[in-house]
Amino acid sequence: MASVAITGRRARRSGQAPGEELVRSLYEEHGRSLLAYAIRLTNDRAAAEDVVQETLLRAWKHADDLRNNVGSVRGWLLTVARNIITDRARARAVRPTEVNQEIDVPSPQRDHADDVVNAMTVLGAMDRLSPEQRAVLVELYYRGRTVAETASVLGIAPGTVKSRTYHAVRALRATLSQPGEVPR
Amino acid sequence: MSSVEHDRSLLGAYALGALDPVEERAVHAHVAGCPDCQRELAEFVDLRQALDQVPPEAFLDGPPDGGDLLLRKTLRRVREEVPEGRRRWSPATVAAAVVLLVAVALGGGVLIGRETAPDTVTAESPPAGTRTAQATDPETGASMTVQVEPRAGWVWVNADIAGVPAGEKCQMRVIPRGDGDPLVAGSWVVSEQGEAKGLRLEGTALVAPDEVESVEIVTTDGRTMVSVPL
Repeated sequence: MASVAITGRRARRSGQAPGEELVRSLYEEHGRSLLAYAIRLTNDRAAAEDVVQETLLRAWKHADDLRNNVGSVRGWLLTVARNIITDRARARAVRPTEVNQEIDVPSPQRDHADDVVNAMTVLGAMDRLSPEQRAVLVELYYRGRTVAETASVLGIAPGTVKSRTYHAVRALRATLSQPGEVPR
Repeated sequence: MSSVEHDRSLLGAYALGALDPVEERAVHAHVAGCPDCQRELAEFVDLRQALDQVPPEAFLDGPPDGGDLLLRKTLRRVREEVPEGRRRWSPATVAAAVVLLVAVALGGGVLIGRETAPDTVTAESPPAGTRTAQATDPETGASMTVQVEPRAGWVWVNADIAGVPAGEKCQMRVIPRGDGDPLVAGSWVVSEQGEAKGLRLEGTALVAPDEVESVEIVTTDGRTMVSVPL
């Protein structure tokens, strides 16, 4: 019986699934971000790992969406992860038997209809900033650093931090307010 | 007023709340009397709401800490879900399928269901007969949630382990009923990360699924960290 089982496993490995490389590269690039986000939202590492698996699986199933995605890939993945988490929480609260229902993947069209600026579009817009502007914004806003701390982390003058922030904010504002055109 | 008069470059950092208190007060005082700055600032406040849609974790890069176990599990699920038409039927796969069909005839049906109909069984629902148990050892403080999935004549063990101190060299052992010897389903040394955040392990053991009495974590020098009866 043991030999049967071993044959079965080898069979799975030799039949390498198409798109496996996609999952691998998404994991290498975005895994840390996804897992940290899911851990914060679920407060449960095992559940968070399951959410990451499910997110990557969904990315693999919707590889075309992901390729044609108008925002950022990172934003798409984080949005899917959040949807999975909220949907599971809702399923647990309301319909304990239907935990496996299909969940929508984010669609830029729908977001446009709702006129909602979401993580995908904002991250997409941030990708269009210069690396210097983006770095200042990340340190100053998302990592909660002061101007002085940001200056020291990035090795630039405090005055430069301020002016880059100003130009970054203006550029973002301009990108996000363009009606109908989605950042790429 | 004079020092920040129309120094718009401060408005970005001001809107994001990143100025020091002295500068912040100065900008505040200037903006109060400057319609141009007020207008621009209003736009920046809108933008700040947009920025808040993005979680701070969005700016972490690379793979998660702690090895590629999660990747391997994910890839396993990908392989399980490959639709029939996209699966590459290599001669080895066909041969394996034949062997598995023979196994069905011999009565070991559980694993085969997953192999031949990958679309109908999602990896989220473990195979029928999977047993899950949890225990915390009051003395060591170590805890483990263990899931024992039946295979044809052997078991697949998924374990989430927490509370084992870093540096401990451990084995996961599957204990059969009766007087059979414990089977080592894996061995490792606990990392700092493993101590802090817990550890997920997978292992296998050649013991009939209904013969598993317990799963335990034992150090290589013989101390039992936690034992989970099934």
